[in-house]
Amino acid sequence: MLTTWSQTDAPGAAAYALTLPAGQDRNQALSGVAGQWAQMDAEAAAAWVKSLPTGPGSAMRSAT
Amino acid sequence: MGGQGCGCSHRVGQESAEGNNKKAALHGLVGGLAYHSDPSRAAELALSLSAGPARDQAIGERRRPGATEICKRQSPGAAMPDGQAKQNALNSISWQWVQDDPKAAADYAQTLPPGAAQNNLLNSVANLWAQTDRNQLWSGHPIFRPVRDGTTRCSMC
Repeated sequence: MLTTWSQTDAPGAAAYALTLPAGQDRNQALSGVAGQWAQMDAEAAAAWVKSLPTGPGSAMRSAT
Repeated sequence: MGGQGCGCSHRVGQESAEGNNKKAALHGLVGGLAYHSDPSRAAELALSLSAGPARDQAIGERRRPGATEICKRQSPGAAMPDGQAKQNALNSISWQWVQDDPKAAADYAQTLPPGAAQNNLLNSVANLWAQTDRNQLWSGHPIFRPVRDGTTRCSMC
């Protein structure tokens, strides 16, 4: 469902994915939406990913 | 189109929910970028993301031409420093890259400093070389030198 949704309204699908309970399902939803979005509008998808907060203690911490 | 979803054994462990969100989205993003119609732009976007293990892992897991471009951009002096990230990316894409564009991969291998990354890429090139008509495919490429019997031999081995 999210794949179809993200083809027509990627920002909406992304916002919805963030509301899912934390866990593997949400991770898969976020990954799927981002991947679909990147294929349609890579610039916007990258901007969205960059806008997501990096949590404390995350391995996403910048190496620079 | 393809590439949506993760499809690999990516794990996010016990990190924070926020960190997991970004890591998962980043993973999907890089996967999608690997299918981008403009590999150069996809590489720029991927490398514009915050440097870190998640980005490097996501790049390294991709086996598409876009990922190849990302990897090629990781040459000395490029946006991403040499090191484990480059090694991971090369390890992941070297086989596919050699299949897609063996001469470009061989060219790039020659630019790498001696070490594991160069060895892995050269191994992939050599494996393909061994499976193909080496004289037809590689004739004239500087990585291979002609020998007395009329065949060619890897100049770096």
